[in-house]
Amino acid sequence: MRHRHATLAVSLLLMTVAAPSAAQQPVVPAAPIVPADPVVPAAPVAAVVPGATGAVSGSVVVFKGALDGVRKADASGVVVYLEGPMDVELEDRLAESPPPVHQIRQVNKHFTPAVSAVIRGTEVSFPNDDMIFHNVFSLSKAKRFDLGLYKSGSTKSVILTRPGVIDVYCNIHPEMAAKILVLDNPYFAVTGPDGGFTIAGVPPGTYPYVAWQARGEPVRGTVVVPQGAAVRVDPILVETPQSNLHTRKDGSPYGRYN
Amino acid sequence: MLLCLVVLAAPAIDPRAGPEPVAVVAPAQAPAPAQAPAPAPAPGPSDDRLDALERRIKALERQNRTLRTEAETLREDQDEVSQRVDRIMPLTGRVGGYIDFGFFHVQGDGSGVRSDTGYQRFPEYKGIVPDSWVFMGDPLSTTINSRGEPADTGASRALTFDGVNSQGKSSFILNAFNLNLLVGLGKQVSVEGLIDFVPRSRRISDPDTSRFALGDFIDVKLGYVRWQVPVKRLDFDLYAGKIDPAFGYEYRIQESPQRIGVTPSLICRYTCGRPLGIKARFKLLPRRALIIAVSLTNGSSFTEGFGFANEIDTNNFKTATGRLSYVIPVGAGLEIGASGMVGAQDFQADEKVLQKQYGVDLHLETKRLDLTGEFVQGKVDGSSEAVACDIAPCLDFKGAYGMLGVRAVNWLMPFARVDWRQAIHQDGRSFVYNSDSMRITPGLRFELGAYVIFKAEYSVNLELGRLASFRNDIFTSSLVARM
Repeated sequence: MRHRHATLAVSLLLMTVAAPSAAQQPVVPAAPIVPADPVVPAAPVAAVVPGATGAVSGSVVVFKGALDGVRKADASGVVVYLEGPMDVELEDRLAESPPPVHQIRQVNKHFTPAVSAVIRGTEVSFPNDDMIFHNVFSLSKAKRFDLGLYKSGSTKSVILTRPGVIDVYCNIHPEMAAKILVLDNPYFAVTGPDGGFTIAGVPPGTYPYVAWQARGEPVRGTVVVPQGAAVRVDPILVETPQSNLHTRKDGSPYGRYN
Repeated sequence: MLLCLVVLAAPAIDPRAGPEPVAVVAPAQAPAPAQAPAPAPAPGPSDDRLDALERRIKALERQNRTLRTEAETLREDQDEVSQRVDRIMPLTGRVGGYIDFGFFHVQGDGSGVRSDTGYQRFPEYKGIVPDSWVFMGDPLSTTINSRGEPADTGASRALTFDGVNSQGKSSFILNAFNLNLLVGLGKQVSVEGLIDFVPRSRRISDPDTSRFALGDFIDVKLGYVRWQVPVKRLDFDLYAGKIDPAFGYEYRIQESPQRIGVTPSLICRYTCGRPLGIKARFKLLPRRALIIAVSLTNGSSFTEGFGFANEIDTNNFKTATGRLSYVIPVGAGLEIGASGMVGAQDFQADEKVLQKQYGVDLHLETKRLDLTGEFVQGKVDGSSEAVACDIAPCLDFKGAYGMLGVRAVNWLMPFARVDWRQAIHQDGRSFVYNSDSMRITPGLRFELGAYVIFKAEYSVNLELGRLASFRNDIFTSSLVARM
């Protein structure tokens, strides 16, 4: 519990520190910028130097099925990130002080949040807030792990060291599914329900960006980040149906009622 | 990368520092020229230092190459292992099951029925059915385990298989040694079998033939193949074999580890049976909130112990069942469902004699609560000639239950169930059962770690309406160890 409070406090502090720097930067075009989903704060490891760095902000729009489909009212869970390798300076800084622990809670037989993005090297903990057993595991190539059975009040964690998409499941409850996108640099944000996001503290330059979603193809583009200002991008994504089919950790199917 | 780091780091190296451990050891000081006739550029030590650095870089480069080769080898090895695992995993299966051991005591003679001697309560059957065969109560109201076995069937004529036959005495019992086989054939197809090994008394030389018992038996409860059809827009499952029914909710929690309490409800006999046939289930909408299940089976979803369900069909009119439910996102889900079933009456050759039922159910699960409610009503038409239901037995029934479990702490779940059943079951002159019963069942469930569960409950068994009251309360317990 103390650990969770500490993580929350660090996250809030970092958000508080980051917020004014983003607000001070002019945004083109002027638009109200909503902070990213507060449930999934991006691990803000990069040092933000107001005036020296820029920001990328915008709003994601998600359509169901096709571009002429119905617009989703809830555009949360889209990860917008800038592509690029982790630089040496950042690698050194991470070695000295690792990013804050990211929490994915298990409550009411669901993972919360269902979509997360973290920088590689992040420790992700899975507290069991249900009063039944869960068994968190992943068979993804970016990280294979099996945390075993544990009950309410217990927490187990795993450190994610390789970039990629990690599908997380519960070995008992097939309806429990989460995705973690492990990234190479800290320049990412996860959208809130209104689709808004801000990536602050970005060194000026030209970057390829990706708007990634759990259900559908990602959208890619290029963005030029100016010094001391924010640039706006508004990716449009199409959500497509995805099969929920997956196996238990040993590759066998789930039970007949699931 | 390593090379870059070295190059970047090189100017920062303090020349006064001693030799680096990885570097080739250089002379501490280059020999100075004996005489210096003229001013010369900086003396030799810096050249030596550069030489030393160059040698060190070369050494690091060699080390880097070795590490790269090793890393590449490890990566290849891992890819190979991953490919093997990927190939093997779809073929994996698992053997599971549980052992269910209990202790019980039922008041009276252990049975849930009594004869209406002298037609005291049901005079209308005088001259039609002998009074000793006019029964009051419910022969399945004194069940003592998850399998739904009564402590004793007493004088019952419709329900004659008396596996437990406790005659009102308390007893330990191995309710079942259960074996569950589940094998995946590829990613979408699986085969499952669920078998109970049931140790019971053998009585083959008792002069009272009504107490004849063969002893231990095997109950094949499930045996089916399942195809999870790979469709993106919905979850689509097809089942064929001896399958779970598509009616109501309780069938999902009828195995001992899943059942919160020890015993089934009074209406489980109508909804928990596992018929032979085919079933399709669809889960629709983004949250898979809308669930449709339909089945076509030989017989009904009546349990085998109740005497209406047959495995091999006796007629050509198969039983059609459907259930529609919706899951509202409250807690882990509030599921509300409605079911219906119709088919030719089980154990009858005449396809025109029907057996039908409908029901509604509800299940809510939150972090602390587990609430289930179910109602079912139905009719088995039967067939009459000289006396009511003399060609084929008739059954009119309705019943309901509500059950609430509260997860007080991790390991303790107090629960309470109230269930009620009203039914008339007649077979010509052979028997008639008048049931109007209610049970109130409080109990406790202890989860002792991940694999062991202990449950204990006490059922107050009440006779309602025109039925005479008699002593048939039940205490039963169950220790379940999962494998």
